[in-house]
Order: sequence, then C-alpha cells, then structure tokens
Amino acid sequence: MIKKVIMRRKILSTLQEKLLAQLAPHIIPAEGPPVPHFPAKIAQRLDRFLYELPALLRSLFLWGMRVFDFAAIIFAKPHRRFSRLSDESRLNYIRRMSRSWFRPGRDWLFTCRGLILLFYYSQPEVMAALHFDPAAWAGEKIHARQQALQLAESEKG
Amino acid sequence: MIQTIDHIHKDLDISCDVCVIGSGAGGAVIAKELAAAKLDVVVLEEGGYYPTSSFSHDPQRMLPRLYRHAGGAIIVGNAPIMYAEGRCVGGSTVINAGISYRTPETVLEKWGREHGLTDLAYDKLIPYFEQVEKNLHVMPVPDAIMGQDSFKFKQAAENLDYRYVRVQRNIHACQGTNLCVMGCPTGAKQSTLVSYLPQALQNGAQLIANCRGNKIVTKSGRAAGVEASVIDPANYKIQHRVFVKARAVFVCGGALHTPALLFRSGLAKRRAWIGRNLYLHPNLKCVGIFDEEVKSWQGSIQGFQIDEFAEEGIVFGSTFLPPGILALSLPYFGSDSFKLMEYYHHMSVWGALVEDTHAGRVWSLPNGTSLTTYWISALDRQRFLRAIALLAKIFFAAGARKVLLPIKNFPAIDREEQITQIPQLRIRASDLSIFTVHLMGTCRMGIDSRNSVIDVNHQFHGIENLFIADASVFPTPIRVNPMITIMALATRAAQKFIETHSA
Repeated sequence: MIKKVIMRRKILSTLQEKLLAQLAPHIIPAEGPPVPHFPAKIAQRLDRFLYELPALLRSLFLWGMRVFDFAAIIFAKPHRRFSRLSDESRLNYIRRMSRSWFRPGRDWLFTCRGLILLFYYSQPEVMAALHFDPAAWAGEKIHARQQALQLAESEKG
Repeated sequence: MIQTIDHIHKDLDISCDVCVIGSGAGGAVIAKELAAAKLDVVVLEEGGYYPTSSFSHDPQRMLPRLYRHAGGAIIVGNAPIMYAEGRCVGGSTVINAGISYRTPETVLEKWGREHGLTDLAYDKLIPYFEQVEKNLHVMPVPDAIMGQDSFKFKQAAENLDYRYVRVQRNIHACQGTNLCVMGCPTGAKQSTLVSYLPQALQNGAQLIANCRGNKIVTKSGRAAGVEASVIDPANYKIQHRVFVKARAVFVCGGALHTPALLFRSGLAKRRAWIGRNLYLHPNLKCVGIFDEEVKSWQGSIQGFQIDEFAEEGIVFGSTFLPPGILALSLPYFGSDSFKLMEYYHHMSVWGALVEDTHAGRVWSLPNGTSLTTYWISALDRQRFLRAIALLAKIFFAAGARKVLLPIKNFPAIDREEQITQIPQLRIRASDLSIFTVHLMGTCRMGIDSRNSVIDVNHQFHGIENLFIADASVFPTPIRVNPMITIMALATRAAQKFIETHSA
C-alpha cells in the first residue's frame, strides 16, 4: 500500500530562518548546556507553532519579524539591519529593544524570546541540567499506577 | 467507534437521532447519556484523537496536538490575554487539572434571582452532581500524592490563619505525576477521553475526529442537521465533506466556538445575546523561590485552595509549569534567564483566580471566523493587584525568599515590606501577565428570550431541537473550576431531552 504523504506548507522563508538563527544565540543562555543543531531546531519548531496560529496572528508575527529587522536601522548602532550587525551590536540592539518605547518591536521581541526559551528549556539536555527528568519520572509513575491497579484488582478478586 | 481522517476516504452522509458537536465536558456527557438511552448518536470533534499512550511530557509535541493554536490563542483588548483550550478528543478535560467543584450555592441562587433559573437551585442539581462525581471518581486529593509545594501552600494558609480547603479532583489511582496539562500519561485523570467517551462508544455512539462543524441546518424552525468538514491535521485543508442529518443537534463547542458556529449558521439575527457576556476568570501567577528544594513536579498539581477571599471573588491555588512554559512567562533572557531557571527545583508556581466583573464579547468576522475581545475594567485591575499582593504574602508566609510577580517593571520582590507597594502601583492593564482557562457565558441561559439565548432545558429560544450544553450557557461567572458544573448541567439537559422525546 502506498502511504499518502501530505506536505505541510513551510511558513518561514530561508531569510527568516536565518534571522532566527542570528537572534537565538543571544536569547538562550551562554552558561546553559549546549543543544546540538539548536538554531535549525528552533526554526523547525517555530515553523510548526506558527502553522497552528490563526492567520491574522501568524501574519502579525511575520510582519513583526521584518519590523524588528529593519528597526535596527534606526535603533541600533551602527545603523544597519539586524541581520547585518555584528554579534555585539546585535546583543546591544536586543537589550535596547526590550526596554524600548517602540511597542511593535518590543512586543515581537518578547513573543519571540518566549518561544525560543520554550523550545530551549524543553530540550532533554537542558531539563536534565535543571534536575528535571520528566521522561523517567513519568515512566516510573505509569508503572506504579499499573501495579496499583493490579493490586486493587487482585484484592477484589 | 472512533473515525479519524485515516478512516474516511470519501464524503459522508450520515443519519442519526442526535448530532453532538464537541467531545469535551459537555459533549461527552450528552453523548454518553443519550447513547445509554438507545438513541443513535454521532459526535463531531474538531481535534484529533490521541490516546493516553501517546501523551508525553514534551510541550513542543503536546501543545500543537492537544491545544487550540498550540496554546498561543489570544483574546484581544486593552491587555492581550492568553487562553488555553483543548482541541482534541476529550476537549479541555484532557488538558485541565481535573479540579472538580460543584457550583457554589450562592451562584445558583443568583441565577435563580436574576435570570429566573429557579429550576437550577442547588437542591435540584444534587442528583446530577452526584451522578457526575461518581462516574469521574471525584475525591479529595490524598496526602500520599501531594508534593512539597502543596504542603508549603497549606502551611502558609495555616500561618496566616486563612481558610483553606482540600482540592477535589477526578482521579483514579493517581500517582501524582503532575503532567495533567500535557495529557495525563498514566490515565489516572478521568478526562472524558477515558471516562464518558468510552462509555458512549460502548453504547453505540459514533465519534468522528478531525471533523469541524461548519453550519447547523435548520428547516421550518427546527434543527435538521449539521454540515461539517473533515480537516487534515497536517495542513488544515478540507479533505471531505460530511453531512449529518439529525433529529436534534447539541452544540458543545465551548464559550468561543459555540457562538462562532451559531454566527456561521445565521442564527445571530434571532438572538442578539449570542457572543455577548463573555467571562474569563482571569488568572495571575506568581513564582516563589525557596531556599530548600521543592521539586514542584513531584505530586498532585494542586492539593489545597485558599478560599478565605472567595466572597471578594478571589481564590488561590498551587499549580505546576514545565520549565519551557515557566521560562516563557518570565521577563528574562540570556544569562539572566538561566541564573533564575537554575533554581527551577526550588521554585513553586501559585496562582490567583479572580471572578471578573466586566464581560467581553465574541464577534463574527466576514470570513466565517470570529474575534474575541475583552476589556479589563479599572475595578478588575485593582482586584488583580490585590490578588497579587495577597499571593506574595502567602509565598512569604510559606518561607519563600523571593517572589516573581506578573507585573511588568516590577518583576520581583524579596522582602515582605515591598508587598504594600503592589496595590498602589499605577499600571496599565497591559502591564499585567494574564492568562485564562475558564471561558464562559456567551450563549447564556434564561427564561426571557429577549436577554438570553437558550431556555432552562438548554433549547435555543425559537429553534426546536437545537440545544447548547457547555460553559457558554452560564449566565454569570461561577468562581470555581467549571468542569463539574458543565457536566452536571449537561447530564440534566440530556435527561430532560430523553423525558421529552421519549414521550
């Protein structure tokens, strides 16, 4: 039997993925455990998340991305697009934008920051560094419940 | 029988006695009760079917599967409010904490006094509450599965001499896995996925997942069926059309999607109150950092609630957020974020649920979708600040050394004296991080058809055999978690339907 494979349309363009890859290293903590292929994973996860959003919110997010990129011409030093800044200037621009009166840029940065951190802190390597191992924890509990139910059943019998 | 997109290869034309739209707290109960009465029932569910064995702790995987808009759904207004709503077989019962409270007597008295709903007096609803609680294994959370955070919360209540109650939850052999919001991986939480729906299916009901109700068809003032589409979850494209010819239709899509469906069906012209009267129970969360380890992921999601301020419309409880979701809600990034998150095992998240006084609205948009708006009033904003201040006080009473607040530009306090500043803050509504999981009231019930949408038997005013049974029927907010109220009212609605129609 030939399985029908339906491709999902990609939301982020290559340029937008690149911008995310440039932004993500400044959002995730340098002291945190490294996650292999993280910028690529971020783009993939974000794409999936954006796909779930209503069209209006999705468009707003993608427009916000452009605004954030181009607003660097005004707010960053040197006055260039975010994607063309050096690493240090990018970090300064992010800090400035996070406190800025310019709400569209600030809100977009806040949303994107939240999503990047959501994906980062949900990686097993990072959760392990936080002393949190939900997979093992849940596995143990699933087993414990099965045993409890079996015991209750045998007591009934 | 559950049919998903994998089982449907052509357009469907189905005939049945009753078509139920939605499989959450309302829809699953209606389906089970009517199927048990030997009626031919078809349930349409927009979300996918994910059995317990497929649940995982990973928010990246579970949010897009179980939550509407992957948990990124937003209500527009003077402050954007994020809301969480289940979109899967079992609806929001799959992703809620399973907290099971009956409707407070005072609320039902108010419904009787102000909306003429004297048939919903507490005494009259007791048999329905009991039936639901029995079916869901509702019980007080035992000490054996409580975590450190619950005990700290209780200790704080005792230190402050605040009244508190042990939380009731719908659990069966719960081990305190605390992953309720990602779908209970042990199957202990008795969501409708593992309780009512299997019972409905056993009695012959049919469930079609990935199937969105587009329009209710009416003929000569009677509901005649539902037009629906099978949606591919991979790309949200319509794969097949479904037409369900039914003698009666129950709409159970929740407070946002029930009015949206009624709008699409052209029924808003008949009832001006459709979409109005939206209440949210806004929810504010603070994070406490303790010197000792708390490991709040160990133990039941909530053990106790402080209801000392229930008359003011504020209740407090503990909750749990996975690290990704917690980091998302804190206003830090880079090194600052990690410096804080390093103490994740010392953190506990507690929340305040506030009964709102100002209603929002669901609007119909020309493309068949809807927009939800909600403006936070100045009075509610003040109550939110009071709730945050009280919550900070509770944290310090529990021994927290630092409390992170959901207020922009005032993100943390580490001394109890700082609490007095909170109610005096001059802030805008948008400076608060507000979240909601309890949406209600957009198709309110009442005896007067001029200011309500359905009658006391849940029938749409003016359309025969069209019924609504979900949180949208509440005339006012109810101050407690709404699951049991929805289920008890749905049980009553189903039984009234059987009584009327068997005659």
